[in-house]
Amino acid sequence: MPSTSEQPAAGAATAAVTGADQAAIALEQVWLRFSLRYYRKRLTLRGTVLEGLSAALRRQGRQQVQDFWALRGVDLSVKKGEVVGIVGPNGAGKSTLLRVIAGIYGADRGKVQVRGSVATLLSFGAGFDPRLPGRENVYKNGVLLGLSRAQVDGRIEAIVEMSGLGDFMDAPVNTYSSGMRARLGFSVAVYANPDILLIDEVVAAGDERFRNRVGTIFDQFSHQRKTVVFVTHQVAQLSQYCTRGIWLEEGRVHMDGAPGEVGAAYVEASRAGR
Amino acid sequence: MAADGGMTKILRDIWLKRAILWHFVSAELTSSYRTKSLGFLWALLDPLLFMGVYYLVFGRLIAQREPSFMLHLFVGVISFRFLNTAMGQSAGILRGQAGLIREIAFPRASLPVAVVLARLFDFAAGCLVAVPLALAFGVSVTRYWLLIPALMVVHTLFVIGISLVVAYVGVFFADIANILNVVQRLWFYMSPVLYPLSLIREKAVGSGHPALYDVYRANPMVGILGTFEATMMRGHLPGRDAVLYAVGWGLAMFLVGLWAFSRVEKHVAKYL
Repeated sequence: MPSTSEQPAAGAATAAVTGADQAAIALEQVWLRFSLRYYRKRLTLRGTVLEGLSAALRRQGRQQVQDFWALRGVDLSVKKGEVVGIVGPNGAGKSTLLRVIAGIYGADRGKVQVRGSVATLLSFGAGFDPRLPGRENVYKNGVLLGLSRAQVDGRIEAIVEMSGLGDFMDAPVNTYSSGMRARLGFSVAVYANPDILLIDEVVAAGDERFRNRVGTIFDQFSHQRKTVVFVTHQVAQLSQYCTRGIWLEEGRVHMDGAPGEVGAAYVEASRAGR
Repeated sequence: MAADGGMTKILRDIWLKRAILWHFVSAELTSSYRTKSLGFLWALLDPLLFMGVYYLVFGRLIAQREPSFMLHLFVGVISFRFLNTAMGQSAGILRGQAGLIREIAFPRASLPVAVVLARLFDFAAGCLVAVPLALAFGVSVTRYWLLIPALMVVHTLFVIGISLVVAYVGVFFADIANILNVVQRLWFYMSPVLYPLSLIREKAVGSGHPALYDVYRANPMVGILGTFEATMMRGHLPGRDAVLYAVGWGLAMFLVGLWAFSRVEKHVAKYL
């Protein structure tokens, strides 16, 4: 097992890294693999036993397992107070990278250090239970993101206000549009008051007014020395929201710099059809 | 990371985020009981009703045994229901919550553990029902019954351990539930529930192979049920060996479960 730590760095480790008091996220040569064997088909015990038997009969080794490396040596250090926007083509590893930072995926190689509490909003569904009303889902996600029920009690009015869902809070989530789900998921994540907020492409589903609100919230996070990392396909959002841009390509950091420059270079390359 | 590090980390994470564990437990209990008109009363009614069925079949129709046998039957059945429902639900719990697991980083082990704790609630309700049942069957309720919570802890450790293993296997093999059904049935009939343990001893001795009795008793559920049997039906402390055997199995299974789960916890999200 590669040495990986999702825990806040211990005292000794902190001293070893210079300027670590600033780093909210530090990734060193992070690799992550998906074994395609698990995705080819629904894996069953029967299938595995039969496969093993037939391989043994043919006196061959086990079928060559095909791996797909979604991340191939990502180095990334994010300071407190930064708002980082990630762009890149489909399959570049953007969502995977967010999940590694969140601790949802453990890295197969390399080192992951994340300091502080994390809240995630990784899909329009936000992990909501579609049969339950919005209000109950707020409690569920609030608790899962680290709040107590009492804390959710204290914040639910603000969450409802921010999401603009009003009367819909008592309707089941499967009656919501994707924009409404995104707004509710975003509001819960923000009011979980994390040190690090990780968001995947969800903001795009909101309307213009909501997107402006997102910009204000990101600014507030930044001023409070909190960190935001979010994935977007709308390059304009890089300059609009971010203090830093990352261009991910084939599981590696292709470009890292000012949001305007990274966005321009990425658009240029996409037009050139690389 | 040391092998031990992963195991203690699972426990620490569950404890640090115990609000999440309680959330899952209460969601599980709510979905079991809220939809029913009598609500949590079913936790008490359910064991009473199936005991009624067993009473008709075993108390009246098949064999008129000593009155303590009905209590023996009851305790055996609720212990197995605890084990079987917890295992059965754990088999699919991680796949069932795949959406959540891929969205939010919470301690994954809190899902199967919450399933066990919710089913422990049912089991505890059953143990409560055992008191009036004992009185009805003419079994005296002694001060040793105060030990029952400790026996329940041992059984719960065992069930948590095995449920963690099942949840781990369930991530990779969707058909685990089908295999479990067969295993659980065999396990139930191979344990002294529908018959007294003494029957097996007599048969083994009678057949001239007393060693078969020892083989039979290697079954951890024989040991765990034995501690309940001594305390509730015989009205004395379980023997030292019996306690060591039950506690040993409880702890061993618990550790095996933690170990198995620690191997997969970090990667669960990738496989779902």
